[in-house]
Amino acid sequence: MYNFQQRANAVFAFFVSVAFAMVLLTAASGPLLLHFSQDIKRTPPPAIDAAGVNVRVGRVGFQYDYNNPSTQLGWVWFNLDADLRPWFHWNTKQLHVYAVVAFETPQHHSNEIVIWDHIVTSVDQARLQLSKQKAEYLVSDIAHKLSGLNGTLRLEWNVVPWVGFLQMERGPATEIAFPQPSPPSHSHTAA
Amino acid sequence: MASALMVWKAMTLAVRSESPIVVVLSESMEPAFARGDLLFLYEPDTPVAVGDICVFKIKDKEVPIVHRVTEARTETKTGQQFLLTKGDNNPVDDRGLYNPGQMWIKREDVVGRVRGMIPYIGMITILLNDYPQLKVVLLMSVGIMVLLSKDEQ
Repeated sequence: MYNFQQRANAVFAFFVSVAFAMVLLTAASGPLLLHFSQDIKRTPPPAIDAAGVNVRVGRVGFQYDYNNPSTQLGWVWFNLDADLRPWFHWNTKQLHVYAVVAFETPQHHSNEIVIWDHIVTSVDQARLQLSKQKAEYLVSDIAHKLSGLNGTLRLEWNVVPWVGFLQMERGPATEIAFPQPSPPSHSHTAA
Repeated sequence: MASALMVWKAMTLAVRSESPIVVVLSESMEPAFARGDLLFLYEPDTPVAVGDICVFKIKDKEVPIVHRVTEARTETKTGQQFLLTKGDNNPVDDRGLYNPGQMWIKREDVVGRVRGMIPYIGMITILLNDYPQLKVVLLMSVGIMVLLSKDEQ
């Protein structure tokens, strides 16, 4: 009546059900652990501030669009003091940490640009202290003008789980201002 | 089979994305996502923000891409969004992957945003795609089982 095949099928079906129940419980544990974490409430929010901003004229993406004209590019240096250790729990695979510059222009009411990113894969590396760190990516505006703009700088991080939900978190913002462009350090054009 | 299709269509409506589940095919988002990970998408009305991991399509290209948004600009007049993406594991942004001369992807190119993931499960579809003979083996073994099994009611 119950041959080997039927027994194997029943065992496999039960295994799949149990496995999915475990996956669901594990997935649900991530947001719950973060929501009720006392360590997160105790830890001060990450502090980030612009240590230096430099505006120069250059071209962005010219490899892909030869018609893209010269534009003002912003180089940013920043200080960071962030303790992200409490964001690690048993279901955290990694934190994707990134610094964001945000500003408004008349044409675009929201401009957000990631200037630096960093992947933290273990709790030992989650204490981030950087001084005058140079940004990896440049700031630019579609209308080609940055000088005189005031914006904000903030730290965000994305909690990536082993299994389950991704969560986006952000720290408090500080001011950042883009100064007048500095002259090119080595000019190829006749002055 | 019909119920599977119904579940798929119901999920499509629930998360408002045309494909609510995608399988990661490349290593460009390592270590967040590996080949074979199953991703669950949703598509709310809110504008896309930097840091969101988006699934987007490039015009006239078949395979959608799963990458993180690194620049997001919203036009005041039209609400149109101009987005730049980059794979976490790639050294440069995605402009080389877009169509020639295309500097941004737009809001309507985005199929969905990644909300959750389960690792490894998508490996089944990758294997079936990479080794089409597996489909034949699978179908044949099912057929043989049906033929050999006796109804013992």
